[in-house]
Amino acid sequence: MSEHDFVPGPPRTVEELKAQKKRNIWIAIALITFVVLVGTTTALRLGASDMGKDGGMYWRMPDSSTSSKPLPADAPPMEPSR
Amino acid sequence: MTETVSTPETRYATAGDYVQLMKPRIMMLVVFTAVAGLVAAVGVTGQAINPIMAIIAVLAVALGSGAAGAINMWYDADIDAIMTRTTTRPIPSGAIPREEALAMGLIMSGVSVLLMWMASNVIAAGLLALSIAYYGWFYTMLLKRRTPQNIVIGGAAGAFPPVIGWAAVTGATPLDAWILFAIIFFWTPPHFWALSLLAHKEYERAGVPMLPVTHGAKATRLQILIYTLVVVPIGVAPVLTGLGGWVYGVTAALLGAVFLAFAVRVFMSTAGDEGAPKADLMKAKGMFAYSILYLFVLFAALIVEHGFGLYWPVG
Repeated sequence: MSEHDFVPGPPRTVEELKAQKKRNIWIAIALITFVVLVGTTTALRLGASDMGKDGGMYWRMPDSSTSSKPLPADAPPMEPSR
Repeated sequence: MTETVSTPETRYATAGDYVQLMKPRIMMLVVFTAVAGLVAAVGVTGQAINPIMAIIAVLAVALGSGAAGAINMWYDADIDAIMTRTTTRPIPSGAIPREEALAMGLIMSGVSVLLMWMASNVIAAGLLALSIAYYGWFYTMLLKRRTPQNIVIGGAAGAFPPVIGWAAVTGATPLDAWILFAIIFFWTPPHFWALSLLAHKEYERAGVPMLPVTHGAKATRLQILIYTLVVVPIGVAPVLTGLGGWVYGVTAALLGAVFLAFAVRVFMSTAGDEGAPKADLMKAKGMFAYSILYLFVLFAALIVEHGFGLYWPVG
């Protein structure tokens, strides 16, 4: 569609513009609500997950017995290689 | 540039028109029965659900119901414009274009299923998707204009919410959940046929093969009685499985007896017949109104028992 195809509609009344504004506000509210809900469910799910001592921050090899085994509390210090 | 507009826009849509598009009264019943299923699942299984997740799951059910309603109104816009009862709906009244209603229905369907999945589990989300497709496609597009059994088979769409609520908590759908499904499934025909006895001429004009149109009012009144005879014992069945206790059992028995009395009254009447007296039409209207009360109070009893600690097992 080129700009020459644009045909302006009939002028809107004050009531129509008010209704349009109200609709736009409701669409905005709906979108914000959706984002908040997705954020909330994500936060709650992550909060309930056992992601290990490091809070799931670092990648580690998958464990065959469990996918989210916490690291041992007191891991032995690593010996420097010679 | 030429543009094809299928429905005339005679007035500018307000937010209220979009709410109407979602069939808010049906949505209320859907939400209520879903909450009952959810609360009963917590009470019976002892499994917990995060309250915020529960609220989001219920919201997802409400959105799914609204989405199915919007799709239904999109498809049925032609017959809604014919029937007096539905001419004021947003599409036939010219407030919302058909295509916009379809887009809204489809977007809301996706959003509701996604939210349900995030808030609960894949079983509940799958059941929600199934119920939307069942109402929006199977009932609306395939059954409604083809068979007088449309209400019977299509009734399953409205029966899913308590199962969805149950699955949202437990991730499973045991017998108790399906008993709640059966209550709504067998309740739908007498509920809707009571209304269609009053509006059968409109359905006939719109070409919708409702039972009173295809088989006559007398056969419909008999079917109302038969389905009421089926739903009343099923309404008491939760007591047998332990889902319902004393409060529910007594409520279901009393409500069922009155429901049956209404069905007998309609059966004995001439409601729906040509030239039926107003008193007989009022009997069908009374049956319709009472059927709504029946379902609301029945599920409210479940909520009271399992949500407010008033559950005392029978036997």
